[in-house]
Amino acid sequence: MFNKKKQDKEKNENKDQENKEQQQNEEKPKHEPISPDKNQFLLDVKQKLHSPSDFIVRFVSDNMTLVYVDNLVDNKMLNEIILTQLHEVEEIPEAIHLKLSIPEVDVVNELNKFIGDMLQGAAIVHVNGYDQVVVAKISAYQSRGLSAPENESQVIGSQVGFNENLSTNISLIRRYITNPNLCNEKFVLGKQTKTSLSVLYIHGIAIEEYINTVKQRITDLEIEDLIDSSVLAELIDDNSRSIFPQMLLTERPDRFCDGLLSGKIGIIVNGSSMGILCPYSFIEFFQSREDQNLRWPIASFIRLLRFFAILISIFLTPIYVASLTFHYEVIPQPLLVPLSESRAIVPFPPIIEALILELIIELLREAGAKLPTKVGQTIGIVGGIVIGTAAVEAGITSNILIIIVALGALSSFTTPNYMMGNVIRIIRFPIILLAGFWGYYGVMIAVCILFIHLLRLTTLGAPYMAPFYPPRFKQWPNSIIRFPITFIQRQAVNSRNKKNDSEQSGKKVSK
Amino acid sequence: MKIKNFIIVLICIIILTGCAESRILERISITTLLGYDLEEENKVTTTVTVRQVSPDDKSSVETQTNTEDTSFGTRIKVDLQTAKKVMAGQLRVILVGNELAKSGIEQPLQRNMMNSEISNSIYFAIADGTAKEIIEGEYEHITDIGQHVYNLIHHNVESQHSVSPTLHEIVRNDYSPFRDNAIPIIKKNDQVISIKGLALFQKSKMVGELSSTDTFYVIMLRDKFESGALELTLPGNTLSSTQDKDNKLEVGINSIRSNRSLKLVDASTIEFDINVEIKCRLVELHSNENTGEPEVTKKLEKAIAAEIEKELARVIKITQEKNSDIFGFGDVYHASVRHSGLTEEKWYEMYPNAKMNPKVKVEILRNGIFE
Repeated sequence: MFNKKKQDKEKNENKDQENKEQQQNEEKPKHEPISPDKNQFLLDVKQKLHSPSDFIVRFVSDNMTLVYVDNLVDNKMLNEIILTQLHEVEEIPEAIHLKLSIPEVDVVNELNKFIGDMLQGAAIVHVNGYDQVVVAKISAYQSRGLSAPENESQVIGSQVGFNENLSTNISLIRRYITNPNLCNEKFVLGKQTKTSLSVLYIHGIAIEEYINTVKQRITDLEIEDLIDSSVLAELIDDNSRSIFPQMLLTERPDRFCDGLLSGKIGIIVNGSSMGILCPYSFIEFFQSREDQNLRWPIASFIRLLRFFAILISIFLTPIYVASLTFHYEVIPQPLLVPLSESRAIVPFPPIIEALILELIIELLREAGAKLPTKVGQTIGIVGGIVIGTAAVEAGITSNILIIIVALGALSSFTTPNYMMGNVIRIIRFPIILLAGFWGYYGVMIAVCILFIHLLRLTTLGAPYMAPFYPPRFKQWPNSIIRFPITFIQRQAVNSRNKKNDSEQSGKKVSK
Repeated sequence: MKIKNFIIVLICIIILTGCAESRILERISITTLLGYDLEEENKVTTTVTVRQVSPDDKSSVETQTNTEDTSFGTRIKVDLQTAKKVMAGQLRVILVGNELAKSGIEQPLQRNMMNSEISNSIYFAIADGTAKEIIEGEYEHITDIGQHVYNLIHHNVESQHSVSPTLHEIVRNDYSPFRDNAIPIIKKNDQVISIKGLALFQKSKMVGELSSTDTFYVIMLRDKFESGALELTLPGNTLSSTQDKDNKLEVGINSIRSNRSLKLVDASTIEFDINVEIKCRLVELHSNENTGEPEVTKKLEKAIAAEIEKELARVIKITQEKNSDIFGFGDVYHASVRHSGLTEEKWYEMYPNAKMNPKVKVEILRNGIFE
């Protein structure tokens, strides 16, 4: 595993050098001068943009031309500030640069650069006779207002979620963490989309090694487009072929900030309402931000309930299948008669029965998620009741299995993270198959394979199963149960910064 | 390479599936009660209750009987008579007929211990008469005779009214040379099935019986009491000398917690000291004396202790007469005397002549809920 990492790194370094050479080669022909002539300038720009219909040209005076892309600029600023001030100014780019009273103004002498800015919402002023243009950044993004997070709702705690705008999201985070150490590094990914993204961390709390790993993985990416942060998470995590997510996707700013403050690294992608947090260990996927907001015995109870639900969700149906197919000895005597009576009219072996029912419930879930909200609920109820009762009466399944399958499905939704909830629901199927083939031996084989896989997984090179393996006892008070906050280490399992250890222990909350 | 390994594993999974013998619950017949009886010419009669599940939502219990040379032979015959394969994994109780018990329980014990399907925690009991009688009997109020017998033994063992007869304990006692079995006897009384008492064993042959009231003293000597109950008849003049001695004084005690220790005091004459400490609660006393007074309590304690001592001596005497060491005195002897060279035969010669001194200490902690 580790050797492979090294090889990867070496490869990456080689790639880096190659990339740099390539980039240098590419950049040279890119440098195109701006024509001083007004008409030639317009022709150049139109040719670059393939004469789009929303490209707008305004002649301010005989010498001055203003160009921009419609709907990307703030019309109010354009009319009230730029147009009025352009009439009063001397017709030299430097003078315009000084005169315009807007936050971001630049003078650029390269064609490709200002076109890039223009596509992000800048108005360009060209003065006849000069090979420089003034770039006034007055972009206005159309974005959704802030709303409550739909997928990660919680009862107690803030009710605001990220939206699709990078700068809004970062401002949300800056509101939570007013700290000069909050670092924000910008990257641009995707040859076609030029999606901008920010890597956020708190200097001094986050570990340098992880920061470098994340940055290196992002810069090494050569992708055509990037539409959503979940794609990025899959591209840069340690084992993309694993079923388990190794980075958290969250739409809650408070969870995101909590992660940053506990030493994790966050990534926000423009156009995506989900932030990425890493490194994230297995156990942390089952912890909710709300746990910190509740009193500790209640939070502990809910957490225990959640872990119990995982066990139920994964193992209850396989145990039913295995017991009824191979191990009738272990069924308690009081259950024996009801079980065998309800099974008596079912024509299939338990494995087929269980698979049919699990598939039905997955169909209901998928249909419920895809249908419009109002219809979805109806389908859920109708499907659940009608299909459930009819299936028992038709003798396709036993009514005890219906309870078990419904319980398993219900339990899988208690996982606070949707990505992890999906995993919990899916890994049940191979275990059911193994249980139907080999009984409890099959279930045990499945458990072994699952544990081997989980123990081998890493998240940014840190162990995925921490704090249990390797054992880190100091982190145990905040794992399966939540101790009172004074007992809990602020730093996350895999973000122990040695430099800060002594400081950090003194930083515990004290009364 | 990885894909190759994966395909090999996948093929193994599919092929090896055939090796697993599936026993789907409703496609097998489940036996819950098994009875062995001795027939003439050394043949064994096996009686089983088989639970049949039929598609019309009802399950019925039927019994099957067969006679063969070995119990395994009977099993094959039973299979020939049932529609579904008979499996013994849910077996709860094994009943052995009186006659078979007298000629030795080794065979049924071995047969069931060697069967990996059968759990070691099932109960083993002796039938008064034949097991067939009990299993095949017609009962008005009992739908599942197997479950009924199991529950009967189970709750009596839980409340320490009967010696625990799990297969594991029976086999342990059977194979241990200086300790004999005491197994509950189940009796059918017209419509009622009850625990009649204890069967005393010498090696693996049944040699005698104890009544159900004596079971209390057997448990007291073999084990600890967690919460026993006992009714005693004391002499009439225990509390007040004016009363006649022949008048009986009935006393009921419960919440008995007892602890016993066996000690070999003299190896040559084989003398054992049996110390029993009892803590109990007085719940019933047919007398007008004020039990709140310490003197009265003292008197009662002494009288109860004397009564229990007497009973213990009597029970031990019976086992000595039958030469059945159900308390494991042999084990104590073997453990206490170095290089004794004790063998099973020697011990059976020694045991009837051993001297036992039961000493009982009673302490009444509370005297009932009402004063």
